[in-house]
Amino acid sequence: LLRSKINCCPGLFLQPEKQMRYMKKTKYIRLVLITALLSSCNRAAYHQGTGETAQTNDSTCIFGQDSCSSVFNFDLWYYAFRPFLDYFSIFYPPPLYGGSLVISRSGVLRRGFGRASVKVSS
Amino acid sequence: MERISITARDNWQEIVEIQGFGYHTPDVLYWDETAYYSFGPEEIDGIEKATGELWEMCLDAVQHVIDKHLYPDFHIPEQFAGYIERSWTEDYPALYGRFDLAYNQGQLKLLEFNADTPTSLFEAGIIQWLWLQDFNKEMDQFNSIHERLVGHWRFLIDHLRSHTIHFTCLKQTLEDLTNLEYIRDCAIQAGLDTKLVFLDDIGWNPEIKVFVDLENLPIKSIFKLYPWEWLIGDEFGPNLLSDKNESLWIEPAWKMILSNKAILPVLWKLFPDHPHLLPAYICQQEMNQYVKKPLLSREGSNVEIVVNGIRIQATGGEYGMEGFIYQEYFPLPDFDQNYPVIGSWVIGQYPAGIGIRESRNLITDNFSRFIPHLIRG
Repeated sequence: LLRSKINCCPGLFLQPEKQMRYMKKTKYIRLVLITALLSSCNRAAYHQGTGETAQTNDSTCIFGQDSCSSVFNFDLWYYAFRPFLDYFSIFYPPPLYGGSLVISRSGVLRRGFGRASVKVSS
Repeated sequence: MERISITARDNWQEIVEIQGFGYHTPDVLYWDETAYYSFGPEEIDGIEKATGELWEMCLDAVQHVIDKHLYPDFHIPEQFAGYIERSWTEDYPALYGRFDLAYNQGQLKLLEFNADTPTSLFEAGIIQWLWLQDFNKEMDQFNSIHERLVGHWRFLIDHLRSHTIHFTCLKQTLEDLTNLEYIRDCAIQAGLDTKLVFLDDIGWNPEIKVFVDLENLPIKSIFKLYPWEWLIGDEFGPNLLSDKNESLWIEPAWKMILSNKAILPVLWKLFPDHPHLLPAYICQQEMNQYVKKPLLSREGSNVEIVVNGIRIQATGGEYGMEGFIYQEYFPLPDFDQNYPVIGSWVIGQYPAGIGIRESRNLITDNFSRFIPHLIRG
């Protein structure tokens, strides 16, 4: 079972459990996405208050093992924080019927998840 | 456990922003380094041990709910019972959870378990560690969150349905996105290929009955920062049952049981008088002091504290239609009217570290502040 402790994280337990418990992290924490991207996101997000749609030059595609995130070659901030209706009008036609779903030329339906408009934090 | 007041770093906002922490002051101060909590090693041992015990008890509780078919108590739609049970019996992988614990006068009590979409992971795993490097490099912290995340993703590689795993959350929320991107970061470091697709961009191909991303490629394994109760209630919710790929959603559907407050009465029934549990019931019992909690509320919404028949504190919100549980009131420790809750992380199957949120109220809500901690030498 994945829920069994025996099978979990074999690589980690080359070190004694006692050493893992308290942090004493490696000297250098490598974050390939966060520090480069989201700090930039944050600076850009400040512009939300002024109504400007500032962009950065960051892309989630630039990192080695990441297969690609910015499928439209948009930067992450623009993808994540562009005002919804603005975003909606570019990528999708208006809804075809009563619900909120939209349908593309390929017949794929979208906007069926994410009806909640609040953050998830718990 | 002690609370020590200190002076914040001069340019702390700039420091944490460079580290990728953009929601340190969303409306009011959230990251607060004008104090820290100090623990003795034996206290940390106790928190770690309690977290491990609680996790094992939770797994037993899931089995019990499934065996007894208690879904109505959890307000879980009957049509999803089989879906949940398949995710359990086929052992769909889970990544993490956060127990919220009250620690007062040597007693450690479970308040609730954020098993599905816990946040504050990034500040607990990274930001408070980097704070400690500036504050005192010689001190330690109960925090192996980062290493555990990378390690557990590495372990899960062979248990996913695809080498590429999608990551999804809502648009327009920096806090959710940061937590999601941090988890994705760890997955990348573990050797996985990843793709980000926001929730409303997830597609459904009705001809072949599969979920697809923005490139119309099938989604077979996906990490979501979005609660199960919202997912199944959305327009695509029923499609989860007919998905031909039987996509792996992480956290798995069986976390619907653990993330529901109705798990608290189940735990109390299975493990009565356990030192880390509080009496909890689906129906109100003869308790002099209790906390009334909605089954699905988030960030302390719609919670009431009643002492001797008097409501001493209550919060508003949109929850409660789904029902309530009643848990014996256990006061949080009072540090000059700062009331801390310990968020104790389990990653994979192991306790992995803590993050502390502190509130000015007895109910920890979305105005609470994250306070770093250290272990006394």
